[in-house]
Amino acid sequence: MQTLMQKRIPLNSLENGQRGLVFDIHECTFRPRLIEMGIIKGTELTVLHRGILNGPLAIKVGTHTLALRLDECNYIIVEISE
Amino acid sequence: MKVDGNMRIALIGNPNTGKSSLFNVLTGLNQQVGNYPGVTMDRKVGSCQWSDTFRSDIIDLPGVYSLFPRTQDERVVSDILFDRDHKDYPELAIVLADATNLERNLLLFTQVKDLGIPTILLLTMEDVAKRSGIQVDKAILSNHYLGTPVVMMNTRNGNGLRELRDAVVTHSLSVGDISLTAAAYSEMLGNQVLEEADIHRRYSGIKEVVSRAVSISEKDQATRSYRIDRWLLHPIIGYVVFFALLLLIFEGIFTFAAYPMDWMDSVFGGISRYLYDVLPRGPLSDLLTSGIIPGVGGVLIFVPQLAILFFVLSILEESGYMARVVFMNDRFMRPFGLNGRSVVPLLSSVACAVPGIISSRAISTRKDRLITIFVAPLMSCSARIPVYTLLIALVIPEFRVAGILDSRTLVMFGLYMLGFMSALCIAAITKYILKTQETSFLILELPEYRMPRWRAVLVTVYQKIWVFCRDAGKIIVFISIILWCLSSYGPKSESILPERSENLHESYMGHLGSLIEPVIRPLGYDWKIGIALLTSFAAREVFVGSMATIYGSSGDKIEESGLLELMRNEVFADTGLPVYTLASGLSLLVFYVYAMQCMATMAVVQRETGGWRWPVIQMLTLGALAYLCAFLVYLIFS
Repeated sequence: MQTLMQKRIPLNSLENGQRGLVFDIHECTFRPRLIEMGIIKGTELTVLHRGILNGPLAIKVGTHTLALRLDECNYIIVEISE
Repeated sequence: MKVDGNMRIALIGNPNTGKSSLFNVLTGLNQQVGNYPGVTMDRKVGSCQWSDTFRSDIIDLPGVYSLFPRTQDERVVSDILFDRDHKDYPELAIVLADATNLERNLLLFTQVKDLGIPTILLLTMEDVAKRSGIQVDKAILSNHYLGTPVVMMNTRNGNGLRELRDAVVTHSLSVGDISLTAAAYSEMLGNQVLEEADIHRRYSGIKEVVSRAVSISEKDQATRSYRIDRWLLHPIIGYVVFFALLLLIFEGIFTFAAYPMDWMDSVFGGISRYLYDVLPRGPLSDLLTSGIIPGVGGVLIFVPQLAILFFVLSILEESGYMARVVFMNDRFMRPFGLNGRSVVPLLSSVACAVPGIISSRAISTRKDRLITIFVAPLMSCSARIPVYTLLIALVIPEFRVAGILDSRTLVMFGLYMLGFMSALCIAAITKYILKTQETSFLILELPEYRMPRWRAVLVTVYQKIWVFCRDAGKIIVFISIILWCLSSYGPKSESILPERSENLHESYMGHLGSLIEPVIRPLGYDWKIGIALLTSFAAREVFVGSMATIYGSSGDKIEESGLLELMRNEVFADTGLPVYTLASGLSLLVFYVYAMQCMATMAVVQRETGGWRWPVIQMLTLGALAYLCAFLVYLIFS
């Protein structure tokens, strides 16, 4: 039943403060870079801050904070529980 | 193994793990900054006396997240570690790992370890870990990684240095277990599928050991940095703080630095005049007083401004704020083909394009970096200030605009804005011309805020100043000597020309000036300005000195020297019309905004881009633009 409660959405549609677990990263040239920064399946990501006018997002990965552009976040699919 | 010399120990680690502070702790000021051939990364080497009998070289390698490089600069690390015959190939690696983020840091550690290099794992950020309730069991890590020595150290205050020393002195030089050869690695490089597989494989092993070795007593969820960022990354307050800092930097560069610069200017003028008086006349003393000393002075005059700039920038860097600057500006730079990391190079270029272009190394995409380098010289550098000041005083009448604004200040401000706006426009155009396969991306760590350590800040300022004097200095002095030769000798005279101001027309320089006069006449310039344009290649502020030489004026201050009066009275020989009018003056000002007439900048672009192609394209493009705009301005105002 739990799977019914979960939604898969791109990281950029999370609200500030909202968490999601990495489900998948779409194919892109910088995917190895994302993976080596610890963005792998099952990692919990939290959106901390957003730049103005669709600027970058500050994402909490584990204990650290990463800045990613909005369109990069589009490649990262996270699972959220509703 | 090496037969002679010291053993080599490399410091390897992610960015922001305390690598450079450890380097400073181990080597003191006993370090050298050099260059890797072909790449632009600083090569930092020092030496450390570990015990009475054991001394080693320490090599500080650039911070990387894995052995798969993202930038050419990061390639330095894999190039060295994959090549046993490389002169920097380490006999021992100290891999630094941030204890608060062990998973990601162990990725790099396992890669280095697998190459068979004897490795010590150094856990850093002990203080932050303690504060966040993170505990690491060193024994579990050590056991899991086949007895690798694991040491905990606070690189900021040196706590734990003793344990590190023991580990280094007693480590065995035996080659570790090579589970992956350099050749196998090299095959993976650039192959996305293999790279990803390697990282995934490592992470699953790391996750397992970390789950056993690290315990977190969760107590502080909203971290200090998060709370600070709520202000500093705030959509309004964040930018207010950023612009206040910018103002502070400009105030420092333009106002505070003026005092030591004036002082140095008169000291060098004084030395020249003193030597001119006491030394017997001759080519050698003339070369010294008119070529070498002004040349050296022309380099050192930049030091106060650069020291202030580097000081502020390195505090921002050390504290962790610089990453936030990148975060806040990325959105605004992207439409122009630049990225958030272009802010520092452009900002630094207001002092001097040379350190500005060097600092573009932090930009990870080659295209963004090239564009940044291409437009950096358009930011009005401090060498242009004396030129602007002289010409504005010469041709711009002084009056109040709208009752409060001074006309001359306004023109000065306008020239800076013209440079900045043109930089953005040209960047936007270049963005469409440059073809690239790379996608521009920004994956940037926002490190925890920390108090800057003053010692580290001062070391950075000192090193950057030294690199500037080395890189720009030798070129400026060299060009000064060449220019001295050209203006002291002429085709008709075998020996040195006495009384340079009157005889300048006879010199090679005078001939060159006359040669280009037809080309620059449409802009409203005469052969004397032609000479000053050529001599500006040493450094643009030489324009003023050349004018003083040409018109035979003397004195340190422009106002006192009578130079303005002499220039104002100058007329074209053929037409009898004044040379310096509003039209020709503005035209010359615009020319100085655009033209890339600086050999030091060209040389540094050559080095940073790895060939003469870019500096030549850049000089021709900006030169053509300068000519065109100056011509238009002259047409409009005459």
